[in-house]
Amino acid sequence: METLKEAFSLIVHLDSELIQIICTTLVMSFFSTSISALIGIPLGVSLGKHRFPGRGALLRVTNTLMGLPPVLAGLVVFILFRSIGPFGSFHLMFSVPVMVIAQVLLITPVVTGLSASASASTWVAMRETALGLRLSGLKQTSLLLRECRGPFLSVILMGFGRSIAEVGAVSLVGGNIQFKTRVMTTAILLEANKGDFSKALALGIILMLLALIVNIPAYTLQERWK
Amino acid sequence: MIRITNLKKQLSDGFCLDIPSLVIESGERVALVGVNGSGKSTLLRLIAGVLKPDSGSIEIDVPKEEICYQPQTPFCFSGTVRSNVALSCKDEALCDRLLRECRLTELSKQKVGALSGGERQRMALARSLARQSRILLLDEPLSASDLEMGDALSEVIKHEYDSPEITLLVATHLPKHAFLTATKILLLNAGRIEEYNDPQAMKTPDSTFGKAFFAQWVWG
Repeated sequence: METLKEAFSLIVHLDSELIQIICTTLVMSFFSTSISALIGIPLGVSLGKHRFPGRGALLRVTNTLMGLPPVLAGLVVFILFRSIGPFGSFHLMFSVPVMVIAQVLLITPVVTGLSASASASTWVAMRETALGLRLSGLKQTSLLLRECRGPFLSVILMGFGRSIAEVGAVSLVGGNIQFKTRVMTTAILLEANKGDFSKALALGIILMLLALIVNIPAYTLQERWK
Repeated sequence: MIRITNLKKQLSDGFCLDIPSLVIESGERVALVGVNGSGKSTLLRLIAGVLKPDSGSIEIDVPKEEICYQPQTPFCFSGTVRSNVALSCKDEALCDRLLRECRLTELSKQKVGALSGGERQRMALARSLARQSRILLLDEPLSASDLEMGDALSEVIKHEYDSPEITLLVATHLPKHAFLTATKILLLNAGRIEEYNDPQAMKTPDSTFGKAFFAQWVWG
């Protein structure tokens, strides 16, 4: 009950730090999910629709990367972007863009793998009809994308969910810097480490509310497409 | 004209289609008949090019774009009946005419998800006819229609493809519709051709299998 009160109080009194944390979380999750979707969905559709040498190996690599531990993704990005790393000259460490890069590395295989699975099963069902009607390759792909828009939306939501709830990679490359790279999950971790479990739980409730706010219109859209 | 030479195709379930020679002239309306698993669908898929033969050749004197194939379970794309038919329509008037002939005018704005099996099949048939291809391959296009609707659609198919320049191949289980539609009947048995003749001649088939098979038919 105390936790709920604190969560409510946090929302009502929206201090500047909480606003910054929410905004950083949403900006980071929006960009990492969007970039992952822009890379992963076309890649997944190609893997699902076309048969080519090496497709099986690519699918296996994608499926393996779907289980990539966030800390490992964060570590790879950390090594690449630290000041003495190959991309150190970009000076991106401990910034939101590098957090987005780490999350893209983490989410893209998930989006690719699930998109490949959704498009492959739909393509099996529509292949003979599309080929029989002599539809152009472009038309076939546009129809496949249209038929899979429901599953693709679920895949994007899953990616968003993974992004907003991720802590390992973002804390490693973002550094959890107040008013700069602190996001909901790293803030929860910090409060828990300080022993302020009520505030940690309150932040958790706000995090869940954010996820719910994103999911409601997406669910409505999916229902309309049925 | 479709010329098939030494065509062989083995499927994963062990079934083997083996056609040493078959010539289908332009303008023929051929009904492919035979029991389940006799090779009707496999032959249509091979001619359509959605399946590759293991050996042999299929020569067709029209470009690939002029061959339209409707599988046994046609896919209905999301949207309305009209948007599906319009996928292969060159103009609105043709779309309207085919919707009317296939008795789909009242359903034209209906979402495909709300259609019955028979209605979906009619929509798929209208979509295939709208392609106006020179060779049309239909796999069981009337299997979900009742007798009255089947007769009406048979007449539509016959009317649309009554030209010496266009060829029609229909796999069917319905003797009456095969008789109504076809100028030739091709009887397949376990992947081989048993009989290929005009419907009148098929009433007195040569082979033992043909006699046994057509004995079950109630001719139209």
